[in-house]
Amino acid sequence: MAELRKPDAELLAYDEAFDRDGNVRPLYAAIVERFSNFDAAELRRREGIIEEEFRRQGITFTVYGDSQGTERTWPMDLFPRLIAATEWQEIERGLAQRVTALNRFLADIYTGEGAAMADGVVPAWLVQSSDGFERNAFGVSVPHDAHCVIAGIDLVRDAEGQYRVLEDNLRNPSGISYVIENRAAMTRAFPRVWEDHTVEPVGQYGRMLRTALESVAPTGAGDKPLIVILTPGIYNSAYFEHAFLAREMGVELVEGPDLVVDEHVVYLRTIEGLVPVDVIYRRIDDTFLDPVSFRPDSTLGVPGLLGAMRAGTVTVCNAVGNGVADDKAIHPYVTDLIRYYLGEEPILPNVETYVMWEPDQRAAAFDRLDELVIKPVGESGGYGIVIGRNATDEELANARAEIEADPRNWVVQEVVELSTLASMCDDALEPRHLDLRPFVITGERTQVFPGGLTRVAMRKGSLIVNSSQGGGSKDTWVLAPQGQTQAGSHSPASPGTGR
Amino acid sequence: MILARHADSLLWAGRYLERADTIARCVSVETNAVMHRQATEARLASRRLVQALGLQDAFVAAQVGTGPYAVMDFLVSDDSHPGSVVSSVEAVRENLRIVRDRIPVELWEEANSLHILMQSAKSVGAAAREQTGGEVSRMSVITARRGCRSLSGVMTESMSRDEGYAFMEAGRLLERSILTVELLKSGLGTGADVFDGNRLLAFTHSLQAARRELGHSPQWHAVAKFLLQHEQMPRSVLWCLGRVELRLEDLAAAAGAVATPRRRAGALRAHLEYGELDELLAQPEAELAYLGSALAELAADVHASTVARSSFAEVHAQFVRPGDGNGRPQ
Repeated sequence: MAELRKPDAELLAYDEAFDRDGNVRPLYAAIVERFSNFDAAELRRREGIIEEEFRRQGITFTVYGDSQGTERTWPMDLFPRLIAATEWQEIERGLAQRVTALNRFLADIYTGEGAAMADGVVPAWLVQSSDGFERNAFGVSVPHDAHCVIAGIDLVRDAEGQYRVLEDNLRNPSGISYVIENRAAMTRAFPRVWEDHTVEPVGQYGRMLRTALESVAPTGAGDKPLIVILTPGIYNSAYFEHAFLAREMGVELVEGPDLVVDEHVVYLRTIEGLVPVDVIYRRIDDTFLDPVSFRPDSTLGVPGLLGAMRAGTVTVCNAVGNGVADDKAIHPYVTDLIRYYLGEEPILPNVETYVMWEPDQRAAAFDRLDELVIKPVGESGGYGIVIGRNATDEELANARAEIEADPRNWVVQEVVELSTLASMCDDALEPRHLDLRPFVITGERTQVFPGGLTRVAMRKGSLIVNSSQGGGSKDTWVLAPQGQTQAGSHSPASPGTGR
Repeated sequence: MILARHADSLLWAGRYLERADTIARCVSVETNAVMHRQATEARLASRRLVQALGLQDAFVAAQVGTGPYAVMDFLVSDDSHPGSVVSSVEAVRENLRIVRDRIPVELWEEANSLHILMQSAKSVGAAAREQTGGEVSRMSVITARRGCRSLSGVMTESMSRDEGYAFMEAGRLLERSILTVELLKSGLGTGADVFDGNRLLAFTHSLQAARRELGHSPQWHAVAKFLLQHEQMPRSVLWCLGRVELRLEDLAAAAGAVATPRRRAGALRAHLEYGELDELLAQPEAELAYLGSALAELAADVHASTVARSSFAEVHAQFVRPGDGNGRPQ
């Protein structure tokens, strides 16, 4: 059999499959047993099946700046991540609560009275100075206040096994297509592992998203609103996902030049002429959306789109200006926003974060900067982060100086030892760090899609899970509650149409 | 309903699919012949094929070597020009990638798999390919032919007969007609590089069917009539035009702009169906030149029909305005 290496005893991280004494956790007993029947060569063979299948199907992502300039096959690790039913119910409630509050916050900012700012829950200056704050979005209301129809919330698990929110992605979170394709690949490569588990299916995403998008169509759109997905085109890193979602939902995949606005109505250029559009699920950033209101050099967007939104003839999802709510500087306030809007205690805690514009928090952080993580709020994808324990004295001194010069631009977080799980490395299964991005859909109501994208750092000890930097992914199983197998709940979930 | 841009992509996917299939078939036929001929004679014939496929300029620009398999390599694996099999397959894949969300998954997967296989041959490098005695390109030809057959099978069996299919099929059949006329031209004249009747039939995938009707040594004239006017043979120009007309009829309800290509396709079909072909072919060069340009114009018209009605300039007067009875808010 392939060697299944247990986590080193001195590792601080929580291991998903093994407890501190090296015993298999009950949740993973059956899958560990299954995998122990495969030797390394057999696992490699099955890995080959998956890779070949992904390549053939063109399940790829694009790495910018790569000299090949093009598509790479989606990386998937064989060993699945399991989440127990009870554990998931808690996560699900926590995510729905969080996204509900964030949508309330966005509505409060753009179409409400700014109550949270007036009541001092979040400083008004902090909101207004956010890069994601968009004046153009003022007064543009969204049906059901669903400013964020599709949210991806990044969760990590700390050393105690507690799930914590690392980041909210409320603009254009990607990854859902890989969740569904990972399940299909797992089904092909390991047809028998499903005998031991009842897993929540993932094939229903297209229907779920379409229903949500239909529900936010403008009044007057009729029973069958025309929905389109707006993509920057085939060279975008997530183009596979855009095409996948269009297929799964049965809607048109359009580019900016396919749309045209006349008298505040958006039309689709078809061979039959111009057809009015009701809902645009856009996968391009705010600033490229409309060259009239934003970047004049954008060729990806649609001139006049913002005017049409304002006139209420079209709904754009996610709404413009959501970036203010997923600003890293706002993140520490989200738990208070939950208390403020919903009158509830937050179910999922944040990763402990200190804001540098509060003198007390800054002084406390400066005392132990070598134990903390320093993050610039304007960056994403891991850029500009300083990890205190790995930094030299000089780097820490520089960070201090930069924070003092512009405290609005920095947050400092406690280190989270991301949890680990067995992953295929060379010829053994070794523990590697991972995170989880579940997806939350809001239309008439807020729903959490079972599981999400588990990203895994394939280098030993690394915390970098991004696929563009060599990270992998795992099929993520939410186990159905015992004795309550849901209708349609089955192991080999079909990823939807066409299979 | 279909986006104008998607209609355009499917039209071109169809054209490139036919092109890849035809070039691969011609090369396959020609490669078998090369093995049994003198080098100079073989080279002359290959050059004529290059000409018939409209790749003369690209051939000169590519400075193709003098090895016995260099021309084949140019036609199959050279991606420096858009007319090779590898480039055509890439164009099929790129066009289908644009419409990936609306075509059957299998159609995309077949195109993608074929592209991956063809790219691996390309990556071997021209010099190395030549060293293998054409083996790599020969294998690519087999791969391409098989791949094209799968693609057309999936297209026929699983694509909905919607506007997208109409454009893709129209693209294929127009490209087929254009190439057939061009190949027929290469059977005229008296030089050593003129292709005989059987070769022309083999290039156009009609040899087996024609043998039953024309015997073993058909003359050019009989072959031309077969390839232009046959009513049951899906390789004949008449048959293709009949189908193009049907597809344009399918589109007529949706796209008013197909009126022009429909008229042109009908006129051209009538010319072949009811014209005295024996008389017309008394001056074969002139007749083929006429057919060639008429088909090119028809293809251009079909292409233009994908965009004509989707711009404001054309339709501003007709399109539905908000508030004028369609229930939308102002």
